[in-house]
Amino acid sequence: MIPLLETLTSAVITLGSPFLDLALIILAITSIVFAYLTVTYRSLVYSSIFLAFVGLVNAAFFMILGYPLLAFIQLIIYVGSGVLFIIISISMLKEPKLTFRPNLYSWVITLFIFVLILAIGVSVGIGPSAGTYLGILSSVHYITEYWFSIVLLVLALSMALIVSIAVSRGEEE
Amino acid sequence: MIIIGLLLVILTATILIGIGVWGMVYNKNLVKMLLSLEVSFNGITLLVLYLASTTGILGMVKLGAYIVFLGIALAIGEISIIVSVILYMFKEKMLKEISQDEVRSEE
Repeated sequence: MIPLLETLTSAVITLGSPFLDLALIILAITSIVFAYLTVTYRSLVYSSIFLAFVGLVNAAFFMILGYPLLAFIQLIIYVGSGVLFIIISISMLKEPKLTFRPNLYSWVITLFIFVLILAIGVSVGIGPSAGTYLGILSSVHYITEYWFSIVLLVLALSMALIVSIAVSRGEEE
Repeated sequence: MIIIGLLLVILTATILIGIGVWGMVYNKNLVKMLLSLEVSFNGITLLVLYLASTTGILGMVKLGAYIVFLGIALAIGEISIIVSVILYMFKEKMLKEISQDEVRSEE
């Protein structure tokens, strides 16, 4: 199990590997889709669950950028307690009526911030350096050494999400 | 290929921040506004970590990690306080709906 896992993770998280770009593309698309669903979905409970998925994808990004410990903190503290707290709290409320009021003003603000941040990011520098993938080896080490804990963590989070959905649906009925 | 991948990270972070701000302006529901803020927060953490890791200076790499760790801790506190206040106001019937208009009309 461990050599196979090591081979797989090394194939994905290796400098210059085409799998790394493929993984980044999939993660980027998933993150954007879940973020859009979080903002626009009508049900608050499902909206919060989509936010949990955004947190999960962000943790994967942290891992690829070379911050494995922060990825685990994001998973355990942010998704595991913060977002689940929102979900459980919302499930105690009755589903409120949602109002959407689209206007041009919001689009202009969004576009302005988007361009501003992109310009700052590009001016700071987007080229990879030696320090970019400094923590890649430790990421692989964490995944291969603690794979069982990660599996348990994923199972526990999935179970908590499913239970929260079940509780909120029971509340509606 | 690596530069394309790293461009994707910065693009994703900025799009997440944009979607979050858009949701903050777009929605009138208090919980939805909080959720939009959290989407924006996720984008900001990704951007900070990305910028910290591209500098190549070990001190900056560590500083980025510290900032994001502090940010996550503060975000959890913020979530718990805001959701508790909303829940309290709703249960005490200060709010009929969890809407921003309702809060404004209470003033």
